[in-house]
Amino acid sequence: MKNKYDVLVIGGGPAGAIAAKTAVEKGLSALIVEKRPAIGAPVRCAEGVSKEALADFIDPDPRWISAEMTGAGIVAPDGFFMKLESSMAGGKVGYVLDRKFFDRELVWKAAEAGAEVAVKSRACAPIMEGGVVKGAKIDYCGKVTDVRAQVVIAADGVESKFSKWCGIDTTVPVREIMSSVQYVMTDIDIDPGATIFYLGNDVAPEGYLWVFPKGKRTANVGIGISGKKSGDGHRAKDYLDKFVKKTFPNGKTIEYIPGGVSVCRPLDCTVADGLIIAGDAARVVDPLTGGGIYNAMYTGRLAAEVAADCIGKGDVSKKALMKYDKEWRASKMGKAIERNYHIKEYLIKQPDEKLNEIIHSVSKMNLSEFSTLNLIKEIIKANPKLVLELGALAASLR
Amino acid sequence: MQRTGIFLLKILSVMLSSSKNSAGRVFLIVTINEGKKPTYCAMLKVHRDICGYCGCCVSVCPEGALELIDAYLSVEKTCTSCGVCAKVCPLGALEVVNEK
Repeated sequence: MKNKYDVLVIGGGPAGAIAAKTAVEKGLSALIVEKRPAIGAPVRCAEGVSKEALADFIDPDPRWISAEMTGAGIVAPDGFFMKLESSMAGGKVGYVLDRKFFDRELVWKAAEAGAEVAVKSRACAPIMEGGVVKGAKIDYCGKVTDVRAQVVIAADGVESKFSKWCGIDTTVPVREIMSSVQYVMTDIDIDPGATIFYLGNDVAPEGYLWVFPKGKRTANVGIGISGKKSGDGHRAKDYLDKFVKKTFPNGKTIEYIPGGVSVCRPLDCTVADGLIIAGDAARVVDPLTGGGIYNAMYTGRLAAEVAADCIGKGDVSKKALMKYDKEWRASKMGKAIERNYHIKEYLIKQPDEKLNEIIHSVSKMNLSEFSTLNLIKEIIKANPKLVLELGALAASLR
Repeated sequence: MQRTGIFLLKILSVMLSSSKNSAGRVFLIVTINEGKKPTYCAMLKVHRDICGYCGCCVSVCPEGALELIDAYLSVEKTCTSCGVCAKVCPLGALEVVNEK
């Protein structure tokens, strides 16, 4: 670890790894600091990603793909099961990853490209001069070193402390944190090719419960509920235990994974003088699905591209770095976040009866193309009244 | 002076008891009311045997008082014992304790 880099990346998840890799490919020097002793562990993820999204960044490799998905299913609050099959892309629509290996692969690739990596190295404070971020104090085994950088990319995940220290409010509203628990379960009867989502206020209030297969008889079985609905006796773990007892009474839990997922709007501004915020730290998780892997990689790459451009021009001011903020908001990803935020806000207000009605109506249709957007379009087609209820949202779907 | 003495004793006793407990007592606010009202302590208690060090609590803390240092949740002195973290914890590892 040196004392100076062009780009300092805080966090060794998908956002940080792609940011560092992109930075060195642009000819910059870059260091990733990861506070955990290992890249990829502990996992804080349901590990689902669409095939199309992943193809933007990396060729699929069986070493970090647990399972390929051909479809999905939704279980309505009344127990009605709707199966969604895909005819697209040879029937393979997505993957359930093995994040421990996936994250490691991404960091390997960054290192291979020339980035430096430091694990068990925690950014414990920013270095700020005249309100400008100039690097970070890095604590490695109790020894604190100043690491200066022209641009710091904060990719420190849901905790998002670094930006907070720089004066940016990254606090997630209580109602918009998905309080989550997941068990990796084995020896359970599942459909190994489909991700299943369970909805309902008794199952997962203002969230959903998922079964994401990782093998023939193995799956991530998890739940996210709104922080607002969480409390003693009715926490995420209580709901999950209830479900598991009923659905997989003989399953074996081989991993226990708690976590938090933000489903709020992204930060009002994702840059500051000398600082770019990427991935979960910027709150760019899809508010409807809770998916964040692609959005993290996308913003990580863009952050490094803009950093390289601005460093090249000798101006890393907030004004110059705003290019990043503007670009991701205008992107397909940015628009999807905005749209899905409205849909999420609508859906969480619906009583179980309404959710039943929506799911029953959609099950009668033929979905030619499998995607969240397509599903939403069909839901609206089947429930014309929603257009009125959702107001401006409808226009963004066309 | 006597009041300060009691206050210090209380901190000491809390520190001592925490070393014997699996639950770490990490922060203490003591409100000393004027007059003869009783002394209350509002304190965020981390049940370290339950905590899964996931960081869910860190993201909602309005004071930025929580930090996850690998497998250890630290509570800084800016904690106001508001209890937001305790509410959202998926496992129930946090508790605001009011003690007389």
